Amino acid sequence: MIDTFLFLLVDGLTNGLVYALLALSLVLVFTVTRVVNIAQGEYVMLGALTLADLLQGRMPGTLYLLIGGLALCAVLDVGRWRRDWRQALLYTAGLAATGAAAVALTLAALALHLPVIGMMAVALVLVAPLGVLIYRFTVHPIPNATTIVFVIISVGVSMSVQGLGLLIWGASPYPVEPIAAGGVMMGPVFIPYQSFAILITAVLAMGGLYLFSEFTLLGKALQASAMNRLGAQFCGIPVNTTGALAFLLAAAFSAVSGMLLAPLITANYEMGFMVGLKGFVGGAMGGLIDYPLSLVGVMIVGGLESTSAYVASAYRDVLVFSLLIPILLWRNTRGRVEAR
Amino acid sequence: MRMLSVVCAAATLLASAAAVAADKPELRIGSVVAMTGPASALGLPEKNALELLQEQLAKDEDLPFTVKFITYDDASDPTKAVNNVRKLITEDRAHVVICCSTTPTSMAILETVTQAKVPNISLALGQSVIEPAKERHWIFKTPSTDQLQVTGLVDDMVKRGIKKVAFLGLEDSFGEGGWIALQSVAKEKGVEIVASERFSRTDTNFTPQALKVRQSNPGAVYIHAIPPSSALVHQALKRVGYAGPIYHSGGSANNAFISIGKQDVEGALLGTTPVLVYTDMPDSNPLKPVISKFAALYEKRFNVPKVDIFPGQSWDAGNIVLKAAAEVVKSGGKLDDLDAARAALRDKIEATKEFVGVGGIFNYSPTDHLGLDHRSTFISVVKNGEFRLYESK
Amino acid sequence: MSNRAMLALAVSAVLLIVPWLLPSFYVGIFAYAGIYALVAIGLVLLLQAGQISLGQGAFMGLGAYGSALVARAYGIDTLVTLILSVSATALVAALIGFITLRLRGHYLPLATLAYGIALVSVFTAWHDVTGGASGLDKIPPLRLFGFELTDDRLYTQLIWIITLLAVLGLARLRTSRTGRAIATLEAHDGLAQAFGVETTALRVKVFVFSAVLAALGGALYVHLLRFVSPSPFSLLTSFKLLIMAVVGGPMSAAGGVVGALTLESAQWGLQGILARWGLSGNLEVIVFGVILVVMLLKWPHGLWPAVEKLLPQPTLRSRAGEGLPRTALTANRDELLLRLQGIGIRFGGLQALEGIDMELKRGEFVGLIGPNGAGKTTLFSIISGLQRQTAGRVTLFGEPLPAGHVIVRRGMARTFQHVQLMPELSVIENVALGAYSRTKAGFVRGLFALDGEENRRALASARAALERVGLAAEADLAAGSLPLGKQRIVEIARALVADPQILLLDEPAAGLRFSEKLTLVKILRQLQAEHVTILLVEHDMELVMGCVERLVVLDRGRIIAQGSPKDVQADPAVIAAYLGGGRDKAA
Repeated sequence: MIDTFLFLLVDGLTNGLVYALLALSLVLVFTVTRVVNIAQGEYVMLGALTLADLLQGRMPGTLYLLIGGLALCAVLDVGRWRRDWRQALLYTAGLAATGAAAVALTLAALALHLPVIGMMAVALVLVAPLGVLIYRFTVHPIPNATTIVFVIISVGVSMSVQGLGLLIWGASPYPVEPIAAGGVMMGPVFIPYQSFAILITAVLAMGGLYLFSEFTLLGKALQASAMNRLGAQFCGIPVNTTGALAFLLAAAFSAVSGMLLAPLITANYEMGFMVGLKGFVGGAMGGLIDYPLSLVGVMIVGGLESTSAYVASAYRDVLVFSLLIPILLWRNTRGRVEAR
Repeated sequence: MRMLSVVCAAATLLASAAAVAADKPELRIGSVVAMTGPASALGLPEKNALELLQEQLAKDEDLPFTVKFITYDDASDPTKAVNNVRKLITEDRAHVVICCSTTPTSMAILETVTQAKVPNISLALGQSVIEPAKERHWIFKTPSTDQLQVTGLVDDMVKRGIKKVAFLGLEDSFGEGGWIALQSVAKEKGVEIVASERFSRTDTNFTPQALKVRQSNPGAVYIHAIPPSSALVHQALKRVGYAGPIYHSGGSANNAFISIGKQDVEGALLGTTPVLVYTDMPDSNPLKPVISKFAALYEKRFNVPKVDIFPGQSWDAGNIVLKAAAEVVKSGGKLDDLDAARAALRDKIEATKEFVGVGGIFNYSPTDHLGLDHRSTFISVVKNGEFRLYESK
Repeated sequence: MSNRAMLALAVSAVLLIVPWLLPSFYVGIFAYAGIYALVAIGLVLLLQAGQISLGQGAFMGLGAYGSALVARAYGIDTLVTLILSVSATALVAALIGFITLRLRGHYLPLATLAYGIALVSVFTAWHDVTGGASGLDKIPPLRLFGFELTDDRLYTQLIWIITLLAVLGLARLRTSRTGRAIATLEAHDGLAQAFGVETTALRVKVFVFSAVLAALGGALYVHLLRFVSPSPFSLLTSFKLLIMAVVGGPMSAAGGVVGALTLESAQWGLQGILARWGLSGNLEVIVFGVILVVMLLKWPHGLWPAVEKLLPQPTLRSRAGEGLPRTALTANRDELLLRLQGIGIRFGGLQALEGIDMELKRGEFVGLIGPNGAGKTTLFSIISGLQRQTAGRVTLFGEPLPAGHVIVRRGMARTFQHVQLMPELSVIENVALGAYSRTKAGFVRGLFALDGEENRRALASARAALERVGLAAEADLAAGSLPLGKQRIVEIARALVADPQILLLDEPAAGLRFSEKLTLVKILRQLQAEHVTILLVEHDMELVMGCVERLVVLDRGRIIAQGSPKDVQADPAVIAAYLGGGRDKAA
């Protein structure tokens, strides 16, 4: 009995961590832009599949998305040509250069047969800018829209990106190599080394984000631009840049999460949604504003999942989500709650 | 990318259609498969096979009719399936409908095709799609039933003296089919089911279920899922210390299973269609040449190392329809008279005898709209990272 | 009949005839669009009340499974099973609503997500009863009074009749007493309580109503498809409904219809177009997602507002004739109305108020002043019941101060420091909210237009109040379009409609121009002449000194002086509090 309990405890915590980076990404995006990004899980998918392609020696399909996005940026900016053609030219050239650099980097990486860590870095460079592009297309044009509008827009983005994932990579799962294969038996539970990598990354990320937002000026500036956009602008904070920065970082964290996760469960086009959902649940336990609480939140979700899966696997979703409600009620009466 | 090849294929078809004499009657085959949504892993290969068939037919000048394929996506949703089938029947005036990829969607359209009196070949695994035969006059199917496959596996368990089995399956309709089949077959053969655990395609952790199964001390475990989850569950079972035999459904009969499971899935036993193990069959087996030809075409056209069970299902469906249509035209039937053609096609499909397809040898009859028997079910074992035919058969 | 009503009738007629004109394939799509529209309408009401729900799909499922399973197993008439399953869903919703509607911020949508997923998982897992993931066929068709509805066209008409009735009902509700209260739920909780709205109960009612519509939609769905399975009621459907509500326009029930029709036709149109080019499958989803994003970028408030601009104006509700009866106020200056004894309040380590003793007699005009941070607003919120003191007693008309939303019924109404008007509603509608506690027509009466007489009287009272404060000309303008000064006066009018004996005014002159202040003073003097008892918090010394009879001065949570304006002005403690130290106040 105790054995099983310990087993489920360790198992639950380890698996809750899988969602940690995603929860952190959601909190980062929300605290800076007030957008609840339903599409955050898709970066998980993109990171994982890009890495899968790179490790298999293929040019990743992500390049199509990146180049397409950069081209769209140039097209949307076309109004500027009339006003200030020098700036516009510079901007388009910059976009083209970025695209070319990405392609060159990928070719170099493939030629050099970089190890897993190296390929992860390259994949990160390819996926993170997609966050900025999405910000540019969806949040930047209507910064003062209500939360619900942003929610729906992010649903639209999620649909499109997932559809593009299906189109580019198909429905089959892609195996991905771990940073270090194998694992260790902690008592009765087998923990892959990859899970340790996830744990370390999650803790470092959380620590970093927490310190950044509480103790640095830039971190405070990021938060300010969400709390009062106009006020922040008056203080000289470039709110569009902060928003894009948040999306960039969030995409990066989520992509890393996908790359670390894929060796455990394989990469495939629909992996993003569920991970995103569970990450959202974990993050929302902290009101979507609190980094350490998000970590606790995902652990709770992971623990609930493992326990329910053991007790009554056919009903595990029912149990996990039903038990969520009393937890929310408890959180509601305690912590500070941000206005919707 | 695939888009480009689709456009090329469409162009080729247009060109060849123009080249063919305009006075040949047109056979319209409508299909609805799950190209998106949870069942896309099944539906996309099925769509591919239909595309392949379309391209192959374009080169065939001997057909007494031209063939038009119209394919829609039901996104694994029953409502969309019904609406799309309606569209095929009324707007596109299809002679035959091939639909759908999963059991719930196939069940949802039963009423529609029966009322419209249009023959339908389903690609679903569930037995309920074609039974009771009296009420399924217009519906046939090509995939082997879960019942057939599980029977073969349970027979093997009985041969090994195993009395207790545990079930691990997907919680969707695919897994449900396996659970229903195992329950009835196990009862029939006197094997006790000591545990039944479920998981989902998109889960990230399978250890709790694996632990529960191991703790129930089964003599064998049956996993009814598709990769990646089927391989990952198998792995999890080994890691919690289960050491007995592990059986799988035909859903695991593809390369992804081995490339994901690697060493851990050595020795896995799979109930499968002939597609997986045709290379190990003796040359005298009539299935071997048919499958070899299809596999070569499909693997080359879609750049996959090894074809799995799903494309064969729609390939067989399409070919059964073509054969029936050829017979209708030969016996003087007119494809242009839609109602009569549909009825005639249905009759000819039902009269299919000893049709050697990719999924098995089909013998339809008024009481059996599946038409497969033990000659079409095999057990495969994973040996040295490859699927081999299992000796016990 | 107004132009708009005729237009609405024409559109309805078209929608009802359409099933007979379309080819059979399109009839099916139109039917399902109608069902989604019905559910989306309920969701629109929820959004108006400030709640995002991701669980409407689950309620559809409850309605569907309930009716389907009972009809299939026991052969009972489907009209009966439909009513049963919708009622059962309403009970479940009431229970869930009661538990979860206290959640604030993100917790509420998260809770809806939670039970949305949990309920649908039950449908999948409880295989023996529900048929599990594979579903159940042989669901009987809808049978109304012995007539089996198997003709798709008739069924589609029935669906659209129900949907259009729902639009009508909700449009009517919006201009009724309950509709005005619902508009406060999203962001004006304090306002709602101050005028007698029981916010939690109302939220639950709105929630249950939306669940009823969803269950009805689900039951209609299942008896049309004649097949039930869990997948049409999943989280994806809840998202789809939310999209319909937001894209259509969450401000109006018609938005739900517009959203449903737009989305369904976009989806099917897209499939048709792409199929013609030989492309399909996931390209549809990609293009659809892009279209969705582009639509919302262009119309963040939904499509309906853009459509509504092209339509003729709706008729306004009647506000003719006599208003609600007004209590005659006596001039008995000795009657003690409000008494504070030893009031104190503590926030953690901070003692914000201590030992406050105050009395308010009938007909008095009392001013509460003090430097910033003195605790005036805190004291005010204690008196008006929005906050609870940690020490001392408040007595109103001889009885202890009741719960927040009951206070207005006892005869005390207030205005707010930050103007709390609903900007999209008209001035007269805002003012009519003041009559909430004096009227009774509830949700159902508002929905079925049984409140005509009472509503007319409430609006007549509002009109009279506006005349009293000199804003009769602005009655039908949007409240948000008025300058701040007039908005503050609207707030006073609203408080007057509550027929108060005591009026609490929280900084009514803040942000006003000089001429507006003159108008304000004129109104206040007028009210005093009519024997209304007034307690005023203000910063503007000139205004205060010129109007009030008595002043109470607060500093750092304590009363430091009480008396006539002349006495207080000369009081050294007061001078010290305002200026810090013993300097003379400038003349």
